[in-house]
Amino acid sequence: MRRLTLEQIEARRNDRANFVNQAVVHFRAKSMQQGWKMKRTRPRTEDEIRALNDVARRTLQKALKEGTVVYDRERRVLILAKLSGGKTSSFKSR
Amino acid sequence: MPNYQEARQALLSLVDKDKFDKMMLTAAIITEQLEPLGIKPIIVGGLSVEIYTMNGYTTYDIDFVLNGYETASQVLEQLEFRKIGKDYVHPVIGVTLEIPSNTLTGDYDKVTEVPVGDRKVYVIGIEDIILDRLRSAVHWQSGVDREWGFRMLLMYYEDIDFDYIRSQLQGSKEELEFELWMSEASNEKDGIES
Repeated sequence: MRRLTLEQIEARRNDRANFVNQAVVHFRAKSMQQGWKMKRTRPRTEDEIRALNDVARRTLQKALKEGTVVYDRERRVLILAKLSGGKTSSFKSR
Repeated sequence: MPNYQEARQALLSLVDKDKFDKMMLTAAIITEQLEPLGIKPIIVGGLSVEIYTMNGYTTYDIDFVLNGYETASQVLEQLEFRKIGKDYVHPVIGVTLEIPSNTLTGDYDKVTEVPVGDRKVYVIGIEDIILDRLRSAVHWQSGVDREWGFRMLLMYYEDIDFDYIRSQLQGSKEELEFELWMSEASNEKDGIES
């Protein structure tokens, strides 16, 4: 079995960042010319969708409760509190 | 004898960690609970890409391959994971977990052990996750997976067992795609070295 620490992986990533990023940019450009789509095409299972929805719902409810996300009544949108200009939430999460 | 109380507390303490730390520590806590029961969970899928590229990739769930699904399921319930179909969700820390299979699509000898503080996780071998992304590119036409596979090939080029990868390729489409990646990688490396 191999053994790698996160520090070793990070050092490897940092050492090669320029070369790898540049090579990947070239590869992406060629891929797109060849018609590859740069979006997720592998389908998620129904259970995976339900589980991820559950986590997303809880994350939003927690953010609303903590006030990091607020509901702007005038614009009827949810926004990050730090961008809300002091508006407070009237959104009641269930 | 597993100490569920301690593990439950350890999981709850992750609530304010960032996503990657939370997922790594959750995987390490579960590994610590399952190993004494003879179960070795191996991280596969998106989180293994995220580990090998160190945060470059973003995933939202932990995929474990492990033997002993029933026992693992009981342990996860003890750790307060809630079952949603075949997936598990921890309602407080917001981590989802899936056990897609009980056998690794790949070589157990190539699995990587990654220490996480005093604990550890096991990650599918670099060759096998590259093969996984390559297959996704070939069979799902996924350009994103293609790019991540190519990125890992470049990052780990000197350490990769290419004979092993070639021995695992199935069909001419996979062979062609892999040789194309190799040719691109070789061109890029020559450009740097010349």
